[in-house]
Amino acid sequence: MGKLTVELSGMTLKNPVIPASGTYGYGMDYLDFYDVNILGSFSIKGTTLHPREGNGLPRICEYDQGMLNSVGLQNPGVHDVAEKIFPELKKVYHGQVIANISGFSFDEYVECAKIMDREDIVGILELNISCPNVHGGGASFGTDIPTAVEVLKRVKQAVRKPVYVKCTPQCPDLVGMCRALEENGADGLVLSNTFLGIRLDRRTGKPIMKNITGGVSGPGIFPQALYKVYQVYPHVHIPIIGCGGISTADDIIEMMSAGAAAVEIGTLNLTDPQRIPQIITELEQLCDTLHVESITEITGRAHR
Amino acid sequence: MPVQECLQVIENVRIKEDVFRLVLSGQRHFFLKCGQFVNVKVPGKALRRPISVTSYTDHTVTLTYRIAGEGTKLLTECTGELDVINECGNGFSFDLFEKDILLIGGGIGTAPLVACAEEAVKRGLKVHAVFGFRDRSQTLFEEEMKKLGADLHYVYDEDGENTVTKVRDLGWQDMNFLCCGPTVMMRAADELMTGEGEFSLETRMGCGFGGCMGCSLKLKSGMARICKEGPVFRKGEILWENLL
Repeated sequence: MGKLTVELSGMTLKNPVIPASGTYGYGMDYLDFYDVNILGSFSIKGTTLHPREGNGLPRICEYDQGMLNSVGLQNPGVHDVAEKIFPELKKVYHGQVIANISGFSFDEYVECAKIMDREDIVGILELNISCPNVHGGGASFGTDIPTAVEVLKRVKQAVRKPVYVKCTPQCPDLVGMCRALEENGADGLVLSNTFLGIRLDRRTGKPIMKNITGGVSGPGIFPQALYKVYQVYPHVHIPIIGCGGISTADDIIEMMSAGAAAVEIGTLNLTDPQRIPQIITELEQLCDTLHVESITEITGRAHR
Repeated sequence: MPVQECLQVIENVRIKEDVFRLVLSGQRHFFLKCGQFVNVKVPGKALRRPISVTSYTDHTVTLTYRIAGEGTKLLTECTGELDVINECGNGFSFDLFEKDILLIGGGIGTAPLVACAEEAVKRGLKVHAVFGFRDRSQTLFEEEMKKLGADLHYVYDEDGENTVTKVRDLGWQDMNFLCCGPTVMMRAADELMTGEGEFSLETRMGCGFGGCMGCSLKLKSGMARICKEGPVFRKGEILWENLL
């Protein structure tokens, strides 16, 4: 066991670095840059029961410290992912993935989860109740505690793999939400998805993106995302995967100090695709500098 | 296949009022195709700028870019080394052409067609081209295309001319072609042309190599990422209303 090894609900990760859903496709597009087997794991593109075309163009805009996206859960549907994409992925990736699943009804979440649950390549199910770019699903499930609990309970009853819930920072009572999710069987939390935002065209004054709003990500949201983890950690006993604006090994240490057992990295994959292998190396060096034998010692030290 | 690398800025010069030529070089042997693009990291900006390839050799690549906003404005000040993702996208295919090739371009969209003209000449094809610009002060690539012996016609908005109408007036609508320019121009070309052809599209991109699906477009055959399955798509494939 290396010093970067972490465990998430029985799934052993060689390091705590997990590319975040929506920035990593199904892993294949990163093979041009490095061997994806160096990762702790990665979270696949948000998958729904049926194929989705997503939102119209433009789907992307930026701000000085990051970007906004409104992809809108474009994906080929869970059947194609299981039958066509996973067999290809298994040829090049020997670990397990985190399967990010989304839906627009309780049944859709459950059906999608059941199919993912049968796949050996899936280690953890990541229940996405936080997509800001779809209407009538996504984040609308993630801001209301009774609805979120209901989705979780139904999925938990239908599957055997661990279920982590990816929360939205838009939730007005995130601590209450996370406690309720733990009480109702969540095996872990992912804190958090993107913040809702908008950019306007300077010339016309109109929204740049076709969907009008989008999810804000990148280094600019790091302090806010960090605070979500810091805020929730003392109130729960299940692992938290910290996510939001991480772009350096130092950021990972900080996120873990706030309470994260592992981290998801998103926007950085898009802006600097070769950076993650360097970060993993730097993380090992940072452990030496901090005199820790295992990076797990870092988790939650802000609260001790 | 996309390659992230640092390239040396050999030249970054103004060639028109708001158009610059950027020449980059590297040690590695490039495997570029015309119609591909380079995704350039501009210091101070979060996202890269996808810029089409105007010309290339084994170790250099020439990009022509227009100042379209803050990012490209900052790019004009760049010297030294630039972090780029090279060899992005599919590029044009030349299987449509036997003896002649028609290049239809508008504005900065003419840039990737210069690389096509170079490739066409290497393949022994006769190059015909119609390039449209707003006015004469904007004219690009006159010398480059002349050197290649292209049968080139310029048209200007200021004369009330239209690129696609010019193609029709020249009687070239049944030729096989490559096209890049403003979306409305490409759509008009798609409607006019009876020959086979390809169009190069652009949009705002997140990554430029397929990771985010930020540039996915619905085609007749289904969803495609402009950065990965494109930017070049066959005539008849594109649902133009999804780009307007």
